[in-house]
Amino acid sequence: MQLIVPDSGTLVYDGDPVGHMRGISVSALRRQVQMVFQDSFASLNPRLTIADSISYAPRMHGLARADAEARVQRLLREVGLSPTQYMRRYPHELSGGQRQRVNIARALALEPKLLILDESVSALDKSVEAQVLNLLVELKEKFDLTYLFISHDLNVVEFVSDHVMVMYLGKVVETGPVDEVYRNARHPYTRALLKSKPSFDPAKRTRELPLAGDPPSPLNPPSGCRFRTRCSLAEGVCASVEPVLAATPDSPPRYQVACHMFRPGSGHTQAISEGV
Amino acid sequence: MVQPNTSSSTSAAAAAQVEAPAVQLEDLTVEFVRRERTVKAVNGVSLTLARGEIMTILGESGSGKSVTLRALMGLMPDYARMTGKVSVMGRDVASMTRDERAAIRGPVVSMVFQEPMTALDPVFTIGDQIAEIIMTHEGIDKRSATKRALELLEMVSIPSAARRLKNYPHEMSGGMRQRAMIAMALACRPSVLLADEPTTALDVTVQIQILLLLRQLQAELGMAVVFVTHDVGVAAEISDRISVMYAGRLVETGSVTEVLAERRHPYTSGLLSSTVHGGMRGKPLEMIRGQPPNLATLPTGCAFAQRCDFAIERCHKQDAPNVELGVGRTVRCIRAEPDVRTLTN
Repeated sequence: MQLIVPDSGTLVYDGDPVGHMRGISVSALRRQVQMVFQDSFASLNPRLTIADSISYAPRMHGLARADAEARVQRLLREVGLSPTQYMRRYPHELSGGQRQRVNIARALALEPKLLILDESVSALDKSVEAQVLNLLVELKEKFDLTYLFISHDLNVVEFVSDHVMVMYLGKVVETGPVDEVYRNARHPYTRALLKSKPSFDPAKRTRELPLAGDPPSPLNPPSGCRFRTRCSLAEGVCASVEPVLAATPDSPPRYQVACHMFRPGSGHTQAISEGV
Repeated sequence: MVQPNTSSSTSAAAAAQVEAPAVQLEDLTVEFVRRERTVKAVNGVSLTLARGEIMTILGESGSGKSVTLRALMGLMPDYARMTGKVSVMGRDVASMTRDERAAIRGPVVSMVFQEPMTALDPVFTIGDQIAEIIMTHEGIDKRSATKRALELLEMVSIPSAARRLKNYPHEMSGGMRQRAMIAMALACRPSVLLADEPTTALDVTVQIQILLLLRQLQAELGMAVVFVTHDVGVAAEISDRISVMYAGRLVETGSVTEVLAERRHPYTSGLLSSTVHGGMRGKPLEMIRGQPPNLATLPTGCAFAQRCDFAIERCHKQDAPNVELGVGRTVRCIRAEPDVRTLTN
């Protein structure tokens, strides 16, 4: 979204570098990429009615008042709120789930192609979370949207995603199709993460600690592999060489992992061999 | 072993003391009275927790679970109106004076909060904060209290505990802070530990560490634990028994297996099936329609009726009966009554 300007690197949206002479401008990017935040209350202006919040961006982009009004009504219906009942209300008059529906309606108001959902359901109660997740899945089909879904909830991630990227201390450790990552995780961090998930069956309670310690400070990350300080399989090579994110000889397409154990000839004693 | 009877009445009282459950609530109600409205946070909660047992109160925000927990600690604001019986280890908390309540906090009942950063004092070291509690309650000198603080940090598996004693809360990670907070809660060896969403603010990998630690400490020290959470997975990991709370009432109580596998209340079913877990990809989630009622304007009848698929006319008119299905197994729903068919219409 360019809300924070990156120190280095380029952002490419749909083949166009953002903010480049031959690319796409930041304002054009924001028309196609919209965002829904975690805190439904903080992300709405408390002094604007629901209708004003949703129509703000379309009006800015030159939509006539009457057309904007019609769009608000249509969007509210899409997210399951009755326009007559909610249009004139203020954010504090709505529940958390309703406010998050308004935020989704507002994000859709410019007819974007990509929606960034940053922990958008994390603050909701479970019964309301299910409603909003169902809504998101339904809207994605209907408007042919692409979602970038950010979450710490492993079950929610598995439910909504096609493709998963696992991050640790600012680095991608593993990425691939959701089934591959959840059923056949290779990186020791992903494996520990999945094992830390509470079991819903009291007969299958966690007995052993999947992972000891806390994540180290990002101010002074460990050398080499950033996970090595908590990894039970770490060796000398993990401290000296940073593992690269790459496919393994046996991995499916669009799958990559950053671990020396999956790099033939990396110097790790348990590294896989070339033939596998 | 048996002491000779000096007076039958005191030995009977002593026996009652020994027999008393760790926690007993009878028809607890809590209202928060403000000028503009009265919020009915807890509406008649009765529960019994045996010594050495872990019970989880499972509920969504505003269900009254944290207020119930605070009632056990005697932590209520001045504008709260409380009725019913609250007893902890056979002592009646409701009728205690302010000083008496302060005296039981620590040695009898203590609490671990969700956010250790706000619960710990930022200007004192961890060691000083733990030692202070021990000095206040047991009247021992600072040197021995600090020694005890060190043992406590070791007990909750804080690495290099001696060095950590001198740390301020902001110098520790979230997981370490929560361990320090548990050490502090256990400083005076309480018989009942209350835990209010202690893992909610933590990473998944740290959450499971804290749950395993609490389970291990509970087994070692034999204390009773009341654990409050909104997370079904966490409840399944930690509890012996579960009580599900909705709109200030316990709607279903039973052993962890009974509540999770043989649930009877429609709200429990709804909550469990709307909680996303593995292998649900591609299917729409079952959900509970609508949202929890406003506690300032509770409807008459069953508070869940307006969201319930099985509600009949009677549900909207009168309170749901609290049906006892066995020892420690209750369901607050007319559908749990033995002869439900005669009740339809």
